[in-house]
Amino acid sequence: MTPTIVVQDVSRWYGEVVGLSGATLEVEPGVTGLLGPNGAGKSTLVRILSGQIRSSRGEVRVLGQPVWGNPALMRQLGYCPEAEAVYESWSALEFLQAMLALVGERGPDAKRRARAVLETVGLDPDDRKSMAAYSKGMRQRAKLGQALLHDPQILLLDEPLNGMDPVGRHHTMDLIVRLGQEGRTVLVSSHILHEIEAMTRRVALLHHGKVLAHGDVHEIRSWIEDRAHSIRLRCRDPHRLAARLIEVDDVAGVRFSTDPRLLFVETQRADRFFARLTELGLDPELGIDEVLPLDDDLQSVFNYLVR
Amino acid sequence: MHLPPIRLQLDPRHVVRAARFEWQLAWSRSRRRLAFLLYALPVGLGVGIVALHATGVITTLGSDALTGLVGAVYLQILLVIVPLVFGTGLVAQEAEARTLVYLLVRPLSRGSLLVGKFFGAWFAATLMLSASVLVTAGLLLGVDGFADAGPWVERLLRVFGVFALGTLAYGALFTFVGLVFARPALVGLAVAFGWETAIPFLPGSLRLFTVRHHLAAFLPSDLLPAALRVALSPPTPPMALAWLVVSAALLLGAAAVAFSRRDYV
Repeated sequence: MTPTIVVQDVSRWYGEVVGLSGATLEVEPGVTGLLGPNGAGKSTLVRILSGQIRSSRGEVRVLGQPVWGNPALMRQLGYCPEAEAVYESWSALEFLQAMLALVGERGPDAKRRARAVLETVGLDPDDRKSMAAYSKGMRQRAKLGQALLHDPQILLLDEPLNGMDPVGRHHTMDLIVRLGQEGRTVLVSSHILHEIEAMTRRVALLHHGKVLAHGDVHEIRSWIEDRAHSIRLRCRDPHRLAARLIEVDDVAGVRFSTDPRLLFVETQRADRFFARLTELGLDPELGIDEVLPLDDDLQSVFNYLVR
Repeated sequence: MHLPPIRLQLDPRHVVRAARFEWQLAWSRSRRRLAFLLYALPVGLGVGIVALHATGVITTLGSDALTGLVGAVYLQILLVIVPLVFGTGLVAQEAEARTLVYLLVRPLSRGSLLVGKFFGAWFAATLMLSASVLVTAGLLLGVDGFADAGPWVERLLRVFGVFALGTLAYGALFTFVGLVFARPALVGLAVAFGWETAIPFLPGSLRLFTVRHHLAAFLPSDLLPAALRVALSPPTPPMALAWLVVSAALLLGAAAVAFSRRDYV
């Protein structure tokens, strides 16, 4: 698939502080998680991609076009900022209508569009109270609404789930997944791993301004050869299975549990191990009925990469 | 840092959209409070004068009081303070409130956005100043039973024109100051109440570089402070108009370029 966002060796300095350092990344349509702890450079990257700030070095292209000083591109780009600021004295409907008017859409059609978007993000279009009275979660929805208003092809969402209640979080995550399934490019930044994991397997991991890795989280895990993979196996006879497993050098160690049906295995060669496990799985005496990789989740991958 | 060249992009349709947006914002609740404080001040003074007149404490004619208020409060203070507030705050207010980002990610060039916002704010300020002086005039001329209302019609029309030109020129100047200086309010105050009031002491053609010198071309002399009346030899109205409009255009253009090049982190 052709990447819609290309970031090539991009750096950004704020005086002597490094915000982004030689970041290179390609993002394809669908949902991609931009993951990293606070201060990793996620917001800097998203601001560069949305044309608010320039890169100090390197090149950024969105839909094949440069971003900085290219207002026409903004028709295809929606951005939800991290800050919870909104126009406090307006209602959400007034806010969205004002944003639509800025792109030349006014009148009843624009009002209909604004109302529909508010419903999509889970806000009541008939709610006339000013956004000053909104909770953080409601502001997040209004902010997300203004990003979706003009039906953009590219969505840059900076920590869109911050401050949302569980219901709002679930609703918004579903919406983001749906937007990705519609073929849009959705880049969602977050410092919360399980949020990203619930929306996509495709991630870019940022740390200290660098892109440590990007791609499918399973693939990234498989690149980390120097770390043993931990796997939990549930079977009829863990001792017999352990004896069969340690015959070959792809297993670094085994560990038994207080649960008599569980066995924990560590391997450096996950591909070879799983190939062999498939063969062993055919042996009815071993009775393997569950294989669970314990550390190819995002948290483990992230921990391995940053340590 | 690598600075790609920026052309000043101005699209009249985009300017109009941004102007409408700023106009709408000018009437929002948060802005109305400050506007009320500014524009209600001379009206409040007018009410005070009417009350003192009614109780016999003062016997000044209403039209004389109006001349004093227009000259001292509207032309000397508000005509400078109002553009100072809207000019320096045009971008800074939105940047501080962190709402500027919503405008920067719309398909409008930054030049169009700034110029449009400027004209929206300028139009709102001129209208509110004019409305305020109209209310004050109604109050004070009413004291004399509107006996001097006739001559004041022409004088007020001139004052409205000076409001429009003054807020345009000062507004452009303070918008530029707001985008170029780190402490725009301080610089703006120094310009407004230092440079601009120093006209009588400025040698030769230096006074051409003040707004007040050109505005004087459109005002009856009794609306000017005594010091200025002596010191000024105002240019002809067409020359003053050309100076004000051209300098406003240049300052606004420079402000738009500064805005287009600047990062808002």
